[in-house]
Amino acid sequence: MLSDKLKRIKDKKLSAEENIKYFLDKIKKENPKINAILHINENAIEQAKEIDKKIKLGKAGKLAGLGVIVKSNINVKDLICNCASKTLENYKATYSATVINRLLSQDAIILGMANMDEFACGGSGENSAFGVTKNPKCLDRIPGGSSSGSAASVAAGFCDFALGSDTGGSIRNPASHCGLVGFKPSYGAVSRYGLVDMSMSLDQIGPLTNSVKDCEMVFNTIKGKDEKDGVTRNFKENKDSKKIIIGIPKIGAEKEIWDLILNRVDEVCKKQGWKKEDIKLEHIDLGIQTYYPIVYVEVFSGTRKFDGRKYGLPIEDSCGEEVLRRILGGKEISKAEHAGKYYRSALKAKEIIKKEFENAFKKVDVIIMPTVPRTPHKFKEQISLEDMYNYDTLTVLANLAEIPAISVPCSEVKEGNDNIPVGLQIFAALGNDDFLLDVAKEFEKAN
Amino acid sequence: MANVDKIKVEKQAKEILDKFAQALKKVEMGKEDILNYVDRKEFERPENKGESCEKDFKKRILKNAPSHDEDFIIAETGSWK
Repeated sequence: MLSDKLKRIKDKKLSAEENIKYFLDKIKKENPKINAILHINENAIEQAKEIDKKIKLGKAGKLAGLGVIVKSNINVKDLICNCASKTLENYKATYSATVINRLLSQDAIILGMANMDEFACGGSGENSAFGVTKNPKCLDRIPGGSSSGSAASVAAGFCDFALGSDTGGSIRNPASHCGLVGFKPSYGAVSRYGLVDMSMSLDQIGPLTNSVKDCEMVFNTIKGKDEKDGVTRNFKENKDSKKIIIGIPKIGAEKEIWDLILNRVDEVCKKQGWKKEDIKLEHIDLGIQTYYPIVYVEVFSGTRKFDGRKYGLPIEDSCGEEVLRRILGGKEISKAEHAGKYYRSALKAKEIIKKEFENAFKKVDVIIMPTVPRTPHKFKEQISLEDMYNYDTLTVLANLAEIPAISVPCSEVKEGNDNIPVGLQIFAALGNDDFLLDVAKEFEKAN
Repeated sequence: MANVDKIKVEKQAKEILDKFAQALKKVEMGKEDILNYVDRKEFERPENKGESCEKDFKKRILKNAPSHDEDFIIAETGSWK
Protein backbone atom coordinates (compact mmCIF):
# COMPACT_ATOMS: atom_id res chain seq x y z
CA MET A 1 0.00 0.00 0.00
CA LEU A 2 1.13 3.54 -0.72
CA SER A 3 0.90 4.58 2.93
CA ASP A 4 3.65 2.02 3.73
CA LYS A 5 5.87 3.34 0.94
CA LEU A 6 5.28 6.95 2.01
CA LYS A 7 6.35 6.01 5.53
CA ARG A 8 9.54 4.43 4.16
CA ILE A 9 10.24 7.60 2.18
CA LYS A 10 9.52 9.80 5.17
CA ASP A 11 11.77 7.61 7.37
CA LYS A 12 14.50 7.94 4.68
CA LYS A 13 14.62 4.18 4.09
CA LEU A 14 13.75 4.88 0.45
CA SER A 15 14.49 8.09 -1.44
CA ALA A 16 12.22 9.66 -4.03
CA GLU A 17 15.09 9.36 -6.50
CA GLU A 18 15.41 5.60 -5.87
CA ASN A 19 11.66 5.15 -6.25
CA ILE A 20 11.51 7.05 -9.54
CA LYS A 21 14.66 5.44 -10.91
CA TYR A 22 13.22 1.98 -10.17
CA PHE A 23 10.07 2.79 -12.17
CA LEU A 24 11.95 4.34 -15.09
CA ASP A 25 14.24 1.31 -15.36
CA LYS A 26 11.27 -1.05 -15.24
CA ILE A 27 9.42 0.97 -17.89
CA LYS A 28 12.49 0.99 -20.15
CA LYS A 29 12.84 -2.77 -19.82
CA GLU A 30 9.21 -3.92 -19.90
CA ASN A 31 7.13 -1.27 -21.66
CA PRO A 32 8.03 -2.44 -25.19
CA LYS A 33 6.11 -5.65 -24.38
CA ILE A 34 3.04 -3.89 -22.86
CA ASN A 35 2.99 -0.54 -24.78
CA ALA A 36 1.32 1.20 -21.84
CA ILE A 37 3.40 4.37 -21.93
CA LEU A 38 3.87 6.75 -24.84
CA HIS A 39 6.18 9.39 -23.36
CA ILE A 40 8.53 9.60 -20.42
CA ASN A 41 9.15 12.73 -18.37
CA GLU A 42 12.85 13.24 -18.99
CA ASN A 43 13.08 15.51 -15.94
CA ALA A 44 11.59 13.02 -13.47
CA ILE A 45 14.92 12.12 -11.79
CA GLU A 46 15.88 15.78 -11.37
CA GLN A 47 12.44 16.52 -9.93
CA ALA A 48 12.84 13.56 -7.53
CA LYS A 49 16.17 14.97 -6.32
CA GLU A 50 14.43 18.27 -5.51
CA ILE A 51 11.70 16.40 -3.60
CA ASP A 52 14.39 14.55 -1.61
CA LYS A 53 15.78 17.92 -0.54
CA LYS A 54 12.31 18.95 0.66
CA ILE A 55 11.92 15.64 2.54
CA LYS A 56 15.22 16.25 4.34
CA LEU A 57 13.97 19.68 5.39
CA GLY A 58 10.67 18.19 6.55
CA LYS A 59 8.77 20.38 4.08
CA ALA A 60 7.52 17.76 1.63
CA GLY A 61 3.88 17.18 0.67
CA LYS A 62 1.63 14.21 1.43
CA LEU A 63 2.50 12.29 -1.76
CA ALA A 64 6.21 13.12 -1.72
CA GLY A 65 8.25 10.87 -3.97
CA LEU A 66 5.40 8.84 -5.50
CA GLY A 67 5.52 8.21 -9.25
CA VAL A 68 2.42 8.87 -11.37
CA ILE A 69 1.46 7.91 -14.91
CA VAL A 70 -1.06 10.23 -16.57
CA LYS A 71 -3.53 9.45 -19.36
CA SER A 72 -2.48 11.27 -22.54
CA ASN A 73 -5.61 13.45 -22.59
CA ILE A 74 -4.69 15.30 -19.36
CA ASN A 75 -2.37 18.26 -19.87
CA VAL A 76 0.97 18.17 -18.06
CA LYS A 77 2.99 21.26 -18.92
CA ASP A 78 5.85 20.54 -21.35
CA LEU A 79 4.92 16.87 -21.81
CA ILE A 80 3.35 15.46 -24.98
CA CYS A 81 -0.46 15.39 -24.69
CA ASN A 82 -1.44 13.66 -27.94
CA CYS A 83 -4.60 11.79 -26.89
CA ALA A 84 -2.98 8.78 -28.64
CA SER A 85 -3.85 10.41 -31.96
CA LYS A 86 -1.89 11.41 -35.05
CA THR A 87 -3.99 14.61 -34.94
CA LEU A 88 -1.99 15.86 -31.94
CA GLU A 89 1.12 13.72 -32.43
CA ASN A 90 3.72 16.25 -31.30
CA TYR A 91 1.50 18.55 -29.24
CA LYS A 92 3.27 19.74 -26.09
CA ALA A 93 0.98 20.87 -23.27
CA THR A 94 1.34 24.59 -22.61
CA TYR A 95 -0.10 24.37 -19.09
CA SER A 96 -1.00 21.75 -16.47
CA ALA A 97 -4.48 20.52 -15.58
CA THR A 98 -5.83 21.35 -12.13
CA VAL A 99 -5.54 17.70 -11.03
CA ILE A 100 -1.85 17.72 -12.04
CA ASN A 101 -1.18 20.94 -10.13
CA ARG A 102 -2.86 19.43 -7.07
CA LEU A 103 -0.69 16.29 -7.27
CA LEU A 104 2.46 18.34 -7.83
CA SER A 105 1.58 20.57 -4.88
CA GLN A 106 1.83 17.42 -2.75
CA ASP A 107 5.18 16.52 -4.36
CA ALA A 108 4.09 13.60 -6.49
CA ILE A 109 6.27 13.11 -9.57
CA ILE A 110 4.92 12.65 -13.10
CA LEU A 111 6.72 9.69 -14.70
CA GLY A 112 5.11 9.91 -18.11
CA MET A 113 2.06 9.85 -20.35
CA ALA A 114 -0.02 6.74 -20.93
CA ASN A 115 -1.37 5.12 -24.05
CA MET A 116 -5.16 5.18 -24.47
CA ASP A 117 -7.95 4.74 -26.97
CA GLU A 118 -7.68 7.70 -29.34
CA PHE A 119 -9.40 10.78 -27.86
CA ALA A 120 -10.89 8.36 -25.25
CA CYS A 121 -13.12 6.82 -27.95
CA GLY A 122 -13.12 3.10 -27.26
CA GLY A 123 -13.34 0.54 -24.52
CA SER A 124 -10.63 -1.94 -25.42
CA GLY A 125 -7.26 -0.18 -25.76
CA GLU A 126 -7.13 -1.20 -29.42
CA ASN A 127 -7.93 2.25 -30.86
CA SER A 128 -4.61 4.01 -30.24
CA ALA A 129 -2.74 5.46 -33.21
CA PHE A 130 0.45 4.24 -31.50
CA GLY A 131 -0.43 0.56 -31.17
CA VAL A 132 -2.54 -1.55 -28.83
CA THR A 133 -1.83 -1.77 -25.11
CA LYS A 134 -1.58 -5.30 -23.73
CA ASN A 135 -3.16 -6.54 -20.54
CA PRO A 136 -0.35 -7.37 -18.09
CA LYS A 137 -2.62 -9.97 -16.44
CA CYS A 138 -3.36 -11.82 -19.72
CA LEU A 139 -1.07 -10.67 -22.52
CA ASP A 140 -3.21 -11.93 -25.39
CA ARG A 141 -6.35 -10.11 -24.20
CA ILE A 142 -7.42 -6.48 -24.26
CA PRO A 143 -6.73 -4.43 -21.11
CA GLY A 144 -10.00 -2.49 -21.53
CA GLY A 145 -10.23 1.21 -22.16
CA SER A 146 -10.16 3.93 -22.82
CA SER A 147 -7.65 4.43 -19.96
CA SER A 148 -5.84 1.33 -21.20
CA GLY A 149 -2.28 2.54 -20.65
CA SER A 150 -3.06 3.99 -17.22
CA ALA A 151 -4.50 0.66 -16.05
CA ALA A 152 -1.76 -1.44 -17.66
CA SER A 153 0.89 0.81 -16.07
CA VAL A 154 -0.44 0.17 -12.56
CA ALA A 155 -0.95 -3.55 -13.24
CA ALA A 156 2.58 -3.89 -14.65
CA GLY A 157 4.13 -2.05 -11.70
CA PHE A 158 5.34 0.93 -13.77
CA CYS A 159 4.09 3.52 -11.24
CA ASP A 160 2.57 4.02 -7.81
CA PHE A 161 -0.77 5.09 -9.26
CA ALA A 162 -2.25 6.47 -12.46
CA LEU A 163 -4.84 9.00 -13.54
CA GLY A 164 -7.50 8.22 -16.12
CA SER A 165 -10.68 9.78 -17.39
CA ASP A 166 -14.09 8.09 -17.31
CA THR A 167 -16.92 9.14 -19.63
CA GLY A 168 -18.79 5.83 -19.77
CA GLY A 169 -16.54 3.46 -17.82
CA SER A 170 -13.07 4.28 -19.14
CA ILE A 171 -11.50 4.00 -15.69
CA ARG A 172 -13.62 1.17 -14.25
CA ASN A 173 -13.62 -1.07 -17.32
CA PRO A 174 -9.79 -1.40 -17.61
CA ALA A 175 -9.53 -1.58 -13.82
CA SER A 176 -11.83 -4.62 -13.93
CA HIS A 177 -9.91 -6.33 -16.75
CA CYS A 178 -6.51 -5.63 -15.16
CA GLY A 179 -7.45 -6.56 -11.55
CA LEU A 180 -7.23 -3.03 -10.10
CA VAL A 181 -9.26 -0.45 -8.25
CA GLY A 182 -10.74 2.21 -10.56
CA PHE A 183 -12.84 5.10 -9.32
CA LYS A 184 -15.13 7.51 -11.14
CA PRO A 185 -16.01 10.29 -8.69
CA SER A 186 -19.35 12.13 -8.60
CA TYR A 187 -19.85 14.53 -11.51
CA GLY A 188 -18.43 17.80 -10.23
CA ALA A 189 -16.24 16.31 -7.50
CA VAL A 190 -12.99 16.61 -9.49
CA SER A 191 -11.98 19.44 -11.86
CA ARG A 192 -11.67 18.66 -15.57
CA TYR A 193 -9.76 21.86 -16.33
CA GLY A 194 -6.92 20.72 -18.58
CA LEU A 195 -8.65 17.52 -19.70
CA VAL A 196 -9.07 17.19 -23.46
CA ASP A 197 -12.81 16.59 -23.36
CA MET A 198 -14.61 13.71 -25.01
CA SER A 199 -18.11 14.46 -23.75
CA MET A 200 -18.15 17.31 -21.24
CA SER A 201 -21.52 16.46 -19.71
CA LEU A 202 -20.22 13.01 -18.72
CA ASP A 203 -16.40 13.20 -18.37
CA GLN A 204 -14.70 12.74 -15.00
CA ILE A 205 -11.06 12.32 -13.98
CA GLY A 206 -10.22 9.66 -11.40
CA PRO A 207 -7.51 7.36 -10.04
CA LEU A 208 -6.44 3.80 -10.89
CA THR A 209 -4.68 2.15 -7.97
CA ASN A 210 -3.76 -1.14 -6.35
CA SER A 211 -6.00 -0.62 -3.30
CA VAL A 212 -9.04 1.37 -2.18
CA LYS A 213 -6.96 3.14 0.46
CA ASP A 214 -4.52 4.33 -2.24
CA CYS A 215 -7.49 5.46 -4.30
CA GLU A 216 -8.85 7.44 -1.36
CA MET A 217 -5.49 9.14 -0.85
CA VAL A 218 -5.32 10.26 -4.49
CA PHE A 219 -8.98 11.30 -4.58
CA ASN A 220 -8.57 13.43 -1.45
CA THR A 221 -5.69 15.23 -3.17
CA ILE A 222 -7.40 15.97 -6.49
CA LYS A 223 -11.02 16.62 -5.43
CA GLY A 224 -12.73 19.91 -4.66
CA LYS A 225 -14.12 23.05 -6.21
CA ASP A 226 -12.11 24.70 -8.96
CA GLU A 227 -13.04 28.09 -10.40
CA LYS A 228 -11.75 26.90 -13.76
CA ASP A 229 -14.36 24.13 -14.05
CA GLY A 230 -17.84 25.56 -13.47
CA VAL A 231 -19.47 22.24 -12.54
CA THR A 232 -17.14 21.51 -9.62
CA ARG A 233 -18.29 21.81 -6.04
CA ASN A 234 -17.44 20.59 -2.56
CA PHE A 235 -19.95 17.91 -1.65
CA LYS A 236 -21.15 17.64 1.93
CA GLU A 237 -21.70 14.00 2.84
CA ASN A 238 -24.20 12.79 5.40
CA LYS A 239 -23.86 9.02 5.21
CA ASP A 240 -22.24 6.62 7.63
CA SER A 241 -21.45 3.03 6.87
CA LYS A 242 -22.91 1.10 9.82
CA LYS A 243 -26.15 -0.54 8.66
CA ILE A 244 -26.06 -0.87 4.95
CA ILE A 245 -28.69 -2.05 2.51
CA ILE A 246 -27.27 -3.19 -0.81
CA GLY A 247 -29.50 -2.95 -3.87
CA ILE A 248 -29.13 -5.59 -6.58
CA PRO A 249 -30.71 -4.63 -9.92
CA LYS A 250 -31.71 -7.02 -12.66
CA ILE A 251 -29.41 -6.40 -15.61
CA GLY A 252 -27.72 -8.65 -18.14
CA ALA A 253 -24.20 -10.03 -17.70
CA GLU A 254 -22.56 -13.44 -18.14
CA LYS A 255 -23.95 -15.85 -15.53
CA GLU A 256 -20.53 -16.88 -14.23
CA ILE A 257 -19.66 -13.23 -13.57
CA TRP A 258 -22.99 -12.45 -11.86
CA ASP A 259 -22.59 -15.56 -9.66
CA LEU A 260 -19.16 -14.40 -8.49
CA ILE A 261 -20.56 -10.94 -7.66
CA LEU A 262 -23.58 -12.30 -5.76
CA ASN A 263 -21.43 -14.75 -3.78
CA ARG A 264 -19.17 -11.89 -2.75
CA VAL A 265 -22.15 -9.72 -1.76
CA ASP A 266 -23.56 -12.58 0.37
CA GLU A 267 -20.17 -13.12 1.99
CA VAL A 268 -19.73 -9.45 2.91
CA CYS A 269 -23.35 -9.09 4.08
CA LYS A 270 -22.93 -12.08 6.37
CA LYS A 271 -19.68 -10.75 7.83
CA GLN A 272 -20.86 -7.14 8.26
CA GLY A 273 -24.51 -7.75 9.13
CA TRP A 274 -25.60 -5.82 6.04
CA LYS A 275 -28.76 -6.54 4.03
CA LYS A 276 -29.28 -7.28 0.35
CA GLU A 277 -32.41 -6.33 -1.60
CA ASP A 278 -33.47 -6.83 -5.20
CA ILE A 279 -34.36 -3.51 -6.81
CA LYS A 280 -36.11 -2.57 -10.00
CA LEU A 281 -34.75 0.21 -12.19
CA GLU A 282 -37.07 0.36 -15.16
CA HIS A 283 -34.84 2.04 -17.71
CA ILE A 284 -31.35 0.77 -16.91
CA ASP A 285 -31.36 -1.46 -19.95
CA LEU A 286 -31.39 1.74 -22.05
CA GLY A 287 -28.01 2.96 -20.82
CA ILE A 288 -26.12 2.35 -24.07
CA GLN A 289 -28.92 3.74 -26.25
CA THR A 290 -28.97 6.88 -24.12
CA TYR A 291 -25.23 7.27 -23.75
CA TYR A 292 -24.01 7.04 -27.34
CA PRO A 293 -26.20 9.73 -29.00
CA ILE A 294 -25.05 12.18 -26.30
CA VAL A 295 -21.42 11.19 -26.75
CA TYR A 296 -21.55 11.33 -30.57
CA VAL A 297 -22.93 14.86 -30.54
CA GLU A 298 -20.51 16.08 -27.89
CA VAL A 299 -17.51 14.48 -29.65
CA PHE A 300 -18.52 16.27 -32.85
CA SER A 301 -18.92 19.55 -31.00
CA GLY A 302 -15.77 19.19 -28.88
CA THR A 303 -13.49 18.28 -31.77
CA ARG A 304 -14.29 21.38 -33.89
CA LYS A 305 -11.20 23.01 -32.38
CA PHE A 306 -8.95 20.41 -34.06
CA ASP A 307 -8.96 22.15 -37.42
CA GLY A 308 -5.18 22.13 -37.86
CA ARG A 309 -4.82 25.91 -37.62
CA LYS A 310 -3.35 26.56 -34.18
CA TYR A 311 -1.86 23.12 -33.62
CA GLY A 312 -1.90 19.56 -34.94
CA LEU A 313 -3.67 18.31 -38.06
CA PRO A 314 -7.32 18.59 -39.16
CA ILE A 315 -8.98 15.78 -37.20
CA GLU A 316 -11.19 14.32 -39.93
CA ASP A 317 -8.08 13.78 -42.08
CA SER A 318 -5.89 12.26 -39.39
CA CYS A 319 -7.98 10.33 -36.83
CA GLY A 320 -8.86 6.65 -36.63
CA GLU A 321 -12.13 4.92 -37.48
CA GLU A 322 -13.92 5.10 -34.11
CA VAL A 323 -13.23 8.82 -33.63
CA LEU A 324 -14.37 9.51 -37.19
CA ARG A 325 -17.54 7.45 -36.65
CA ARG A 326 -18.48 9.58 -33.64
CA ILE A 327 -17.68 12.84 -35.45
CA LEU A 328 -19.65 11.98 -38.58
CA GLY A 329 -22.53 10.45 -36.59
CA GLY A 330 -22.67 13.44 -34.25
CA LYS A 331 -22.58 15.85 -37.18
CA GLU A 332 -25.50 14.08 -38.82
CA ILE A 333 -27.83 13.74 -35.80
CA SER A 334 -27.27 17.29 -34.59
CA LYS A 335 -28.72 18.72 -37.82
CA ALA A 336 -31.84 20.83 -37.37
CA GLU A 337 -33.90 18.44 -39.47
CA HIS A 338 -33.42 15.71 -36.83
CA ALA A 339 -34.31 17.97 -33.88
CA GLY A 340 -35.77 15.98 -31.01
CA LYS A 341 -35.16 12.55 -32.50
CA TYR A 342 -31.71 11.66 -31.21
CA TYR A 343 -29.90 14.02 -28.85
CA ARG A 344 -32.97 15.50 -27.17
CA SER A 345 -34.50 12.03 -26.66
CA ALA A 346 -31.24 10.84 -25.16
CA LEU A 347 -31.11 13.83 -22.79
CA LYS A 348 -34.66 13.04 -21.65
CA ALA A 349 -33.76 9.40 -21.07
CA LYS A 350 -30.67 10.53 -19.14
CA GLU A 351 -32.87 12.58 -16.80
CA ILE A 352 -35.18 9.61 -16.25
CA ILE A 353 -32.28 7.25 -15.47
CA LYS A 354 -30.83 9.84 -13.09
CA LYS A 355 -34.18 10.14 -11.28
CA GLU A 356 -34.55 6.37 -11.05
CA PHE A 357 -31.20 6.15 -9.30
CA GLU A 358 -32.10 9.06 -6.98
CA ASN A 359 -35.28 7.22 -5.99
CA ALA A 360 -33.43 3.93 -5.56
CA PHE A 361 -30.98 5.59 -3.16
CA LYS A 362 -33.91 6.57 -0.93
CA LYS A 363 -34.38 2.82 -0.26
CA VAL A 364 -30.85 1.39 -0.48
CA ASP A 365 -27.41 2.75 0.40
CA VAL A 366 -25.39 1.30 -2.45
CA ILE A 367 -26.12 -0.60 -5.66
CA ILE A 368 -23.88 -3.44 -6.78
CA MET A 369 -23.43 -5.18 -10.11
CA PRO A 370 -20.52 -6.45 -12.22
CA THR A 371 -18.28 -3.77 -13.75
CA VAL A 372 -18.22 -5.37 -17.18
CA PRO A 373 -20.81 -7.90 -18.41
CA ARG A 374 -18.28 -10.20 -20.08
CA THR A 375 -14.64 -11.25 -20.04
CA PRO A 376 -12.20 -9.28 -22.25
CA HIS A 377 -11.78 -10.59 -25.80
CA LYS A 378 -8.53 -11.69 -27.37
CA PHE A 379 -6.65 -9.41 -29.77
CA LYS A 380 -7.65 -9.79 -33.42
CA GLU A 381 -10.92 -11.46 -32.38
CA GLN A 382 -13.72 -10.24 -34.66
CA ILE A 383 -16.24 -8.28 -32.61
CA SER A 384 -19.20 -6.27 -33.87
CA LEU A 385 -19.60 -2.56 -33.18
CA GLU A 386 -22.67 -3.22 -31.06
CA ASP A 387 -20.89 -5.90 -29.00
CA MET A 388 -18.00 -3.50 -28.50
CA TYR A 389 -20.36 -0.80 -27.23
CA ASN A 390 -22.06 -3.35 -24.96
CA TYR A 391 -18.88 -3.62 -22.87
CA ASP A 392 -20.05 -0.28 -21.41
CA THR A 393 -23.60 -1.43 -20.55
CA LEU A 394 -23.05 -1.47 -16.78
CA THR A 395 -20.63 1.42 -16.43
CA VAL A 396 -22.38 4.15 -18.45
CA LEU A 397 -25.19 4.20 -15.88
CA ALA A 398 -23.06 6.02 -13.29
CA ASN A 399 -22.05 8.69 -15.82
CA LEU A 400 -25.64 9.22 -16.93
CA ALA A 401 -26.82 9.43 -13.31
CA GLU A 402 -23.77 11.58 -12.38
CA ILE A 403 -23.13 9.37 -9.33
CA PRO A 404 -19.83 7.99 -7.97
CA ALA A 405 -18.88 4.43 -8.92
CA ILE A 406 -15.94 2.18 -8.20
CA SER A 407 -14.64 -1.12 -9.52
CA VAL A 408 -12.82 -3.36 -7.03
CA PRO A 409 -11.26 -6.74 -7.81
CA CYS A 410 -13.71 -9.52 -6.97
CA SER A 411 -12.41 -12.79 -8.37
CA GLU A 412 -11.07 -14.47 -11.49
CA VAL A 413 -12.62 -16.47 -14.31
CA LYS A 414 -10.57 -19.26 -15.84
CA GLU A 415 -10.66 -19.44 -19.64
CA GLY A 416 -8.09 -21.76 -21.20
CA ASN A 417 -4.75 -20.89 -19.63
CA ASP A 418 -5.91 -17.40 -18.62
CA ASN A 419 -7.03 -16.36 -15.16
CA ILE A 420 -9.06 -13.28 -16.05
CA PRO A 421 -9.76 -10.69 -13.34
CA VAL A 422 -13.40 -9.79 -12.67
CA GLY A 423 -14.39 -6.48 -11.10
CA LEU A 424 -17.29 -5.75 -8.76
CA GLN A 425 -18.91 -2.36 -9.28
CA ILE A 426 -20.46 -0.29 -6.49
CA PHE A 427 -22.62 2.82 -6.99
CA ALA A 428 -23.58 5.37 -4.31
CA ALA A 429 -25.75 8.49 -4.34
CA LEU A 430 -24.40 11.75 -5.80
CA GLY A 431 -21.78 13.28 -3.51
CA ASN A 432 -21.39 10.20 -1.29
CA ASP A 433 -17.91 9.45 -2.63
CA ASP A 434 -16.22 8.94 0.75
CA PHE A 435 -19.03 6.66 1.89
CA LEU A 436 -18.64 4.64 -1.31
CA LEU A 437 -14.91 4.24 -0.69
CA ASP A 438 -15.62 3.00 2.86
CA VAL A 439 -18.02 0.36 1.53
CA ALA A 440 -15.50 -0.62 -1.17
CA LYS A 441 -12.86 -1.27 1.50
CA GLU A 442 -15.03 -4.03 2.98
CA PHE A 443 -15.39 -5.71 -0.41
CA GLU A 444 -11.66 -5.41 -1.00
CA LYS A 445 -10.92 -7.11 2.34
CA ALA A 446 -13.06 -10.06 1.30
CA ASN A 447 -11.04 -10.63 -1.89
CA MET B 1 -6.23 9.42 -42.78
CA ALA B 2 -5.02 5.93 -43.51
CA ASN B 3 -7.36 3.33 -45.01
CA VAL B 4 -10.63 4.58 -43.52
CA ASP B 5 -13.66 4.61 -45.77
CA LYS B 6 -15.56 7.75 -44.67
CA ILE B 7 -18.79 6.81 -46.44
CA LYS B 8 -18.84 3.35 -44.88
CA VAL B 9 -18.09 4.74 -41.41
CA GLU B 10 -20.80 7.41 -41.73
CA LYS B 11 -23.33 4.77 -42.80
CA GLN B 12 -22.41 2.54 -39.83
CA ALA B 13 -22.79 5.48 -37.45
CA LYS B 14 -26.21 6.39 -38.81
CA GLU B 15 -27.40 2.77 -38.64
CA ILE B 16 -26.45 2.29 -35.02
CA LEU B 17 -27.81 5.70 -33.98
CA ASP B 18 -31.13 4.92 -35.70
CA LYS B 19 -31.28 1.68 -33.77
CA PHE B 20 -30.66 3.53 -30.50
CA ALA B 21 -33.23 6.22 -31.37
CA GLN B 22 -35.80 3.47 -32.02
CA ALA B 23 -35.14 2.01 -28.56
CA LEU B 24 -35.50 5.43 -26.92
CA LYS B 25 -38.97 5.88 -28.43
CA LYS B 26 -40.40 3.75 -25.64
CA VAL B 27 -39.21 6.26 -23.04
CA GLU B 28 -42.07 8.51 -22.05
CA MET B 29 -41.42 11.52 -19.96
CA GLY B 30 -44.15 12.55 -17.56
CA LYS B 31 -45.10 16.16 -16.88
CA GLU B 32 -43.31 15.99 -13.55
CA ASP B 33 -40.00 15.13 -15.25
CA ILE B 34 -39.19 18.62 -16.45
CA LEU B 35 -35.64 18.89 -17.69
CA ASN B 36 -33.52 20.88 -15.35
CA TYR B 37 -29.95 21.44 -16.43
CA VAL B 38 -28.87 24.21 -14.08
CA ASP B 39 -28.77 23.59 -10.36
CA ARG B 40 -26.53 26.37 -9.11
CA LYS B 41 -28.05 29.27 -7.23
CA GLU B 42 -25.48 31.91 -8.01
CA PHE B 43 -25.60 33.16 -11.56
CA GLU B 44 -22.89 35.73 -11.30
CA ARG B 45 -19.35 35.10 -10.36
CA PRO B 46 -16.85 37.78 -9.37
CA GLU B 47 -14.20 38.38 -11.99
CA ASN B 48 -11.44 38.80 -9.41
CA LYS B 49 -7.98 39.69 -10.68
CA GLY B 50 -7.47 36.63 -12.85
CA GLU B 51 -4.16 34.92 -13.23
CA SER B 52 -1.08 36.46 -14.72
CA CYS B 53 0.27 34.74 -17.81
CA GLU B 54 3.57 32.90 -17.59
CA LYS B 55 6.41 34.65 -19.41
CA ASP B 56 7.14 31.81 -21.82
CA PHE B 57 3.49 30.89 -22.51
CA LYS B 58 3.45 32.55 -25.93
CA LYS B 59 6.66 30.74 -26.89
CA ARG B 60 5.13 27.37 -25.97
CA ILE B 61 1.91 28.11 -27.88
CA LEU B 62 3.84 29.10 -31.01
CA LYS B 63 5.93 25.93 -30.85
CA ASN B 64 2.74 23.86 -31.39
CA ALA B 65 1.53 25.97 -34.31
CA PRO B 66 1.99 24.40 -37.76
CA SER B 67 2.78 27.81 -39.23
CA HIS B 68 3.66 31.13 -37.63
CA ASP B 69 5.25 34.43 -38.47
CA GLU B 70 7.16 35.82 -35.50
CA ASP B 71 4.40 36.49 -32.93
CA PHE B 72 1.44 35.50 -35.13
CA ILE B 73 -0.08 32.10 -35.90
CA ILE B 74 -0.90 31.84 -39.60
CA ALA B 75 -4.38 30.33 -39.40
CA GLU B 76 -5.45 30.60 -43.06
CA THR B 77 -3.40 30.27 -46.19
CA GLY B 78 -5.96 31.54 -48.68
CA SER B 79 -6.51 28.10 -50.17
CA TRP B 80 -10.31 28.56 -49.99
CA LYS B 81 -10.26 31.19 -52.76
